[in-house]
Amino acid sequence: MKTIGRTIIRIIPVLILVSFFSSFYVELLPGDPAIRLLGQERAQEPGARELVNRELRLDENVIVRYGKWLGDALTGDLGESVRTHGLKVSDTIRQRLPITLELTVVAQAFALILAIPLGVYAAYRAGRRADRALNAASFAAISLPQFLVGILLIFVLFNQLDLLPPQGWTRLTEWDWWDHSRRLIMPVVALALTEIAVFQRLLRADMMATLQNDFVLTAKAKGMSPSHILFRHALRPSSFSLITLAGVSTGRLIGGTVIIEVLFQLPGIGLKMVDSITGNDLVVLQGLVLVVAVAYIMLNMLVEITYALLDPRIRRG
Amino acid sequence: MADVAEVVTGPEAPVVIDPERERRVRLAWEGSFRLVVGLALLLVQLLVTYDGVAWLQVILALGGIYGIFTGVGQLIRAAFGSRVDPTVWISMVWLAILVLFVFLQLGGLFDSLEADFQDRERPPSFTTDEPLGTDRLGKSVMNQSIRGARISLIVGLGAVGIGLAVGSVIGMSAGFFRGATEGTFNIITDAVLAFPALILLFSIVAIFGGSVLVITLALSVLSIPTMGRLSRANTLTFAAREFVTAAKAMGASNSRILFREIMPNVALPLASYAFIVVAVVIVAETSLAFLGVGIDPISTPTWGNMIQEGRDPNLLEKAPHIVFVPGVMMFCTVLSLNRIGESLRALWDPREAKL
Repeated sequence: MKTIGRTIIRIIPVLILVSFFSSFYVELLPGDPAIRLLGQERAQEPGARELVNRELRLDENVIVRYGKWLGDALTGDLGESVRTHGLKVSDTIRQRLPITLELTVVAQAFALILAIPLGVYAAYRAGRRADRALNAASFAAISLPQFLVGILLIFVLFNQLDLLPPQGWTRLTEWDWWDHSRRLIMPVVALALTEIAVFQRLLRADMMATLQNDFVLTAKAKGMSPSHILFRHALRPSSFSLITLAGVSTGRLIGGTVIIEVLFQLPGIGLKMVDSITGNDLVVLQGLVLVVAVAYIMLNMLVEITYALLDPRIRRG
Repeated sequence: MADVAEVVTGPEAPVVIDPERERRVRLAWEGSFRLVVGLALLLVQLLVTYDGVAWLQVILALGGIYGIFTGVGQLIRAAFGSRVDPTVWISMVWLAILVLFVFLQLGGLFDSLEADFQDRERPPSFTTDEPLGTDRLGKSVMNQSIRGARISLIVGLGAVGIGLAVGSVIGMSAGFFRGATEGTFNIITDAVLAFPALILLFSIVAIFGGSVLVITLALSVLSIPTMGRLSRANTLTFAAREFVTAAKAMGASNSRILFREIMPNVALPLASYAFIVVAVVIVAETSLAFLGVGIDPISTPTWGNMIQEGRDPNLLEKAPHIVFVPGVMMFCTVLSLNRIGESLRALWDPREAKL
């Protein structure tokens, strides 16, 4: 309980700093925020600048503004886009978050499904040729940035072999499952490759430590098959740090899908974030940054607490 | 031993064969074989033009690079013994070549970035004056890539240099003085590192605009807490050691203990980690450019800008080299930095060294 309390207390100043930063984003920009948000022409329209100032509460005291903005944000009102009139930021998030989440979850599941057998196998054949090859491959995969993997996939699977569509998205609500999954393949692989490599290396290291234990020797002496020992006996005690890392990196992926969403033109949170930067739509950006950052921090906290509950050594320490 | 040698070589040659030497000779032969096959594959790949099946070309090129890589590795092991890790050597050679080309460019070679609309999207060909082809505007891909290498190295070394300088001092103070200093340090680094990195960078660049200086400073905002945490953790272990107690007992001042006693010990693990952080920084800088919020693409070609320019599926069809030349250069650089950093880390980290 003490760890949980401490984790939550530690998260509070972080959340305050993050939300503060998000809310003062507009203030930090050079020049008159109203002109920057509206563009030169629309700023000349009568009443337009006043509207922006009112919407962003630029005419109020700094602390009051932060309080009001935070209050609104907590009740789910993240303001409206100034550029495209009447489009609520909370609606944008509601439409786009499922896509980002789907990408993240599918990629993570795919990574785990591949990484677990690979990691177990590498630990089983530690030091042999297969292990060395896997080690080299995962090292290379770690050094390969997501966007390069994505471009390589587009080049081979679209330009050369013409198997998959290069960009775009079909919503699940259109019930075209075939097209939906075809469009999911390349982004998911590009997202998952680094994760596979990282997970595989981590599991291999932990598994090798577990295989040193006496109970593994006992199981061997009883004549159990290697696969039974590996998956039934050794995998569970070796998977602690893998579970932790998978949780933390899920949070990281939510922010990290930006690149993949831009490359494959998938209408998730990340693509909107880039669009709102290039289009100076800062109210939207503010809201998105806040949501992603808070989700990321909360997920990390959740992982820390789960870990403390699972592993008594951490709880006392 | 002599009996074995007799069986192997026959009675006419009473030479004792050194098994180590024999192993090395075999290694050298295998290495040369792989090297030659790799070079041949690469040559075949280069002679075929892009009108053909380009995916076959990619496979040939990858096979060639693999052959050359493992071949050179075996030759190095044959020459220097198996204790030297050839991949570290190759990494260092690659970085040296990169730096050499950057300096050649600073000296005026490969410097022209003129657009030539008559000569757009020319594929790579080693027999012409543009060995790596031209881009959408007819600018030399090779010259741009070298310029990109310069920017990446400046940003990477700059951001990590600032991170090392500032982060180590802050982190060491936090680990040495403990108390309120450490508390503040923890809260601030937590806040910065809890924020999704790419989005933080994104926001900073959106506010201050994309110049080399802004990007370097923005990335050092991330490298300072990383380096700071690392030096704090290391300081904690060293501050408890006898030599620090001895220095304190002899009446040394705090700053003397920090800079003369603790810093030399903290510097080594920090420096080995720095290589990996440089790689991370280079990837981050390229990612920003890829998203279109990096260093201004018109005035300054960078790897990220080039990749961003050539990534459109239609252009990728016609001129894949616009993406793949800077892409491969970047991959090799990041891989080399990671490899060197990893091997240095294994040296300083006793847990890793034992494995």
